[in-house]
Amino acid sequence: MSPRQKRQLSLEVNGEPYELLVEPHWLLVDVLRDQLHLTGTKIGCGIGVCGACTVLVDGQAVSSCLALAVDAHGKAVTTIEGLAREGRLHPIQQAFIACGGFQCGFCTPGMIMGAKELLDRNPAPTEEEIRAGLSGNLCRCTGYVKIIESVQVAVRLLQEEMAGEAGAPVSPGPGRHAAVGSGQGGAR
Amino acid sequence: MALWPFDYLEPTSPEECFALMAEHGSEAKLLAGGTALMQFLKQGLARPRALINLKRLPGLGGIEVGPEGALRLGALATHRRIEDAPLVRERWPMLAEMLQLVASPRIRNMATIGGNLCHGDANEDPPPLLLALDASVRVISRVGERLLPVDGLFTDFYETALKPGELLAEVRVPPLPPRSGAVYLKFAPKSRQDFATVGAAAFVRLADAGRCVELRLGLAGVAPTPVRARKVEAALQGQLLSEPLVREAAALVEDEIDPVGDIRGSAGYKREMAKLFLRRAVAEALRRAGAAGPGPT
Repeated sequence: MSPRQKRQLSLEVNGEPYELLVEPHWLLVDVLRDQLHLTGTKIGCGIGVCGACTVLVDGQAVSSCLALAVDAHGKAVTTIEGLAREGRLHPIQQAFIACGGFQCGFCTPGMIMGAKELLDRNPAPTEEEIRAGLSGNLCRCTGYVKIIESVQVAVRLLQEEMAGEAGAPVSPGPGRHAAVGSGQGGAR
Repeated sequence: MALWPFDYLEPTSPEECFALMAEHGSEAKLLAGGTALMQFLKQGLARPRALINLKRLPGLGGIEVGPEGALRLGALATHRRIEDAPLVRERWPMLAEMLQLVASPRIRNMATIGGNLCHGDANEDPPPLLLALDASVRVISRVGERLLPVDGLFTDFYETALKPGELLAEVRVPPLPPRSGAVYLKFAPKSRQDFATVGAAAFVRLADAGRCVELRLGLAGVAPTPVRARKVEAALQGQLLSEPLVREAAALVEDEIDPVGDIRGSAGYKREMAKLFLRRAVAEALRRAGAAGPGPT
């Protein structure tokens, strides 16, 4: 069998442009982990059921274990590594920490990327909508209660962040900490 | 879980696509959303020499109403885009409801309606409702095109009536007539993202006197293909649909299905659930059609 030709893959990952050479049968998750060393994205079931490999492609959550890397040509991929801004964790990440929304942590990157898409589509989901939105992300540790709480707290953090941006300039640091504190209180 | 190597072909016009399909024949598989095909590749159930990616073909992703009033879904429209489309939510709400029951948001972001039908999986949610709604598909090839009812599309376990060289281009769903109602009920007790143990869809249209003048029933998970429950339909056609009559008719489904026992339930259990969910689907479709209808079953 003749060696198959590698193909040029141009894509953006977490805001950075990349030019890669990939084989057509390489999966997006493998390119992210093995070529770009973005190992936050996990491989669980490998068949699109568990959600551990969830990344955003042009803003939409997808199973990167079922996506060919070549199919991401010209697209913008966001992984868990791309959520923090200037060294500060994303409000969803902060909420998961504040609420104890993970134990072993293996599902967490996928869970947070799933939550990111959910909150981008619906900034104020009901508990039922959160459960439906994360229905394809499996966690074997937490029993989901703390994960649902984390997303609810993230909703409040994001709302406070938006209110802060819209209103008079506020110091984001203390406001954020205060919000996380109140989130913890609410969760208990 | 790495894949076996394959050539990757990306036609940008239907003509180029048909030429590649002719050149590679059964050695090639068509790639749309890929959620089903990638699983087949990973499990070694298919080992194509080439994949023909359809996503660069123009004009296959539309969601619009045709001149005849039917909803036209381009084969590459994803489940998510269809369920989100205001047009679908307003005029074919049962379709949006059904799509929200398919797998997980992630899979719905990737999987296409055309890919879903071509996969020919008897467990999928869209086929029963499309059967009940009397949908059809537009199939294109080098030599022209043809319209095929979804009712004739599924021929056997993962087999469809598409011929070599044919491409499913569009799904057409007729408009809902006055005094009609339709619903898809998914019974998936294990997990929200699982396939249904049984899925049941019903469409009913009532005459002025409240008689049922048009009725179609579709089922998932109970036979090698998605199926219509024709004996049940025949027993209800033209009747005033009372609860005892629907109960009696639903029992006739027994002879029309051939469920296989698996992790989602034994064959016997699926038979019973097929009857139960047909009854519930008819009752809900009747309610939506504006009938007093049979009470809860």
